[in-house]
Amino acid sequence: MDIWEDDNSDEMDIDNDLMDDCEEDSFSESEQESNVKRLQKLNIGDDSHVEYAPQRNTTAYGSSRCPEHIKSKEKMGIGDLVKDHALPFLPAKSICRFRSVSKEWNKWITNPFLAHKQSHCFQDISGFFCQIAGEHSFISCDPHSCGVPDPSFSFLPEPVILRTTCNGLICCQSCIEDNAYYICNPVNRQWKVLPRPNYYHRPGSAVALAFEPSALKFEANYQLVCAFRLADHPILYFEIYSSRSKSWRLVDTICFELDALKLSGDGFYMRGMVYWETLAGSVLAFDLTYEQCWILPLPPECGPEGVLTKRHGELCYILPHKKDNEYAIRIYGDFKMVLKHSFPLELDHFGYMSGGLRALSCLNDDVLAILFGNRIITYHVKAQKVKILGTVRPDGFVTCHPYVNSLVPVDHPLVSRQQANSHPCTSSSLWHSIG
Amino acid sequence: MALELKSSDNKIFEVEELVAVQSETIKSLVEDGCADNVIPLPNVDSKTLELVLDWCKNHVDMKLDEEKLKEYEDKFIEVDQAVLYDLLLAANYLNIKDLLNRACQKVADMLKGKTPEQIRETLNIVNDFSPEEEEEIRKENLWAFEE
Repeated sequence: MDIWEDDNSDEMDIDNDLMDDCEEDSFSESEQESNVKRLQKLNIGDDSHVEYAPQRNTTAYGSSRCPEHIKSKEKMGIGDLVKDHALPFLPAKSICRFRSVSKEWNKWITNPFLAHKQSHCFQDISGFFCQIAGEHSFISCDPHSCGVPDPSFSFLPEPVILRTTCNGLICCQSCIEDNAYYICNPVNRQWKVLPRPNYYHRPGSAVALAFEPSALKFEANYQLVCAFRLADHPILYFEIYSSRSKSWRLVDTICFELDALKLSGDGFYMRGMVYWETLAGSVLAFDLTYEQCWILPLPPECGPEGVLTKRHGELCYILPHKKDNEYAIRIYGDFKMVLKHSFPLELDHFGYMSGGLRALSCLNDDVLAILFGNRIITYHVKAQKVKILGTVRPDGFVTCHPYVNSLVPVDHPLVSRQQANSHPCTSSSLWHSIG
Repeated sequence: MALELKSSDNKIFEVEELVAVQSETIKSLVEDGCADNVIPLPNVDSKTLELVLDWCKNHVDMKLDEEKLKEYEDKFIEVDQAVLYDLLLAANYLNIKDLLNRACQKVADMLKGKTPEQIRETLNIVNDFSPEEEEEIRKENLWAFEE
């Protein structure tokens, strides 16, 4: 199947005798036709633009003699424009539902090119995967338009814990045996088990998933970075799995910063950088391009209820703040993580709350997601409006991971886990000596 | 340098070349030296063309002020469905990428919560599935049809 499989492909055929020269100064009819053809030729190769027929019975330049291939487009209109250009901006659940609109829509929606386009065009946080005591659930920002068929990850071959998410991809880890890593997308239930790392990622190690959907590259290229220590040495190492090389690699850079030795959880990816919070009240930043790392400060009042997230395209830290009975959300940004904004949070009509406030993510420039007791709420900072998205189990610590409802495909596993484990591992001796 | 554009209802708009060439369609005409006379745009009515030219002009004027531009774009795209569809058609016909993207995003927002029947109605699409075929797709993607 062609990547660019489209019913408009007929209209993209180029006539061999294009490009008549503009011999006359005025707009003659033959010039008009050749200009129209020239415009069509210009549109080829630009996958986001296709010439659509006018709604009325004239060509672009007023000639009543319409070339054949333009006439055939006359029947197309807003429906086709929306199908081709607006669908990629929709979340996955809506798109899947619209398969039943018509045969043409179904054909386009099941085309891998649409999935690729959507993964790039749609990058809004659509909800949160919550887990507690091995139980998974998905709380959607908008249940009509965002969702997944199976939020329990039962499509994976073994029970897993969710480690981290990035732009529609999810990294899980097996609860049993040698804790294999899985990369999956719960929308299409595609998954891939990663080969065993060369080094042992002991408890306390932290991962981060880096996936930047690209308009140009058809394949989803991602990296899973793991920051870990060897035995009790006060050094932090980094091992990176690349989907391109399909293998793990130990990075030359190592980190001696004392702060970095105790990372408080899995990391956050943004624009070529990975960020992990440390228990010492700072952030370990790792640059994936130059493979360098350094420490960034967090505000002194930082804590487990704060979160690193993206707002206005920049890294920021969101921290709920309580003084007497007044609640506020503080946003810190810039290199020194200084206080940029403080928004009061009106929670009176929610009555008495327990469990406190925990910032989860920034959904867009104006809306923050917060865990309030056992309720996930969104807060619009300008309108000062609060909305409840859903509730989680109240009996313990729930992890909540932001998720983008993307159609991004994941490789199907080409190799079963047993086969992968039987491959000779060059550092197997190192593994056993640490293990 | 000014260009003259003629809408479908024969209204002439005089526009700075710098503003008009935000449209790739018009840009190619200018580059080919074919824009000396009035450029007829029989697919765009004057009401829509006026809006489109306002978009283009503001994108030239506010090029350096991202925040101001975003504020303008957000306000610009708050139009009713009929106008939005006209803008989308015009942006595609005139090949103005950023307007096309913005209009598509807005349309996507409007459509995302709808049922397939509502989609067909608003976009005049004929349902060419048999009831059995449609039911099969529904069953295959039941989760997408549920709350």
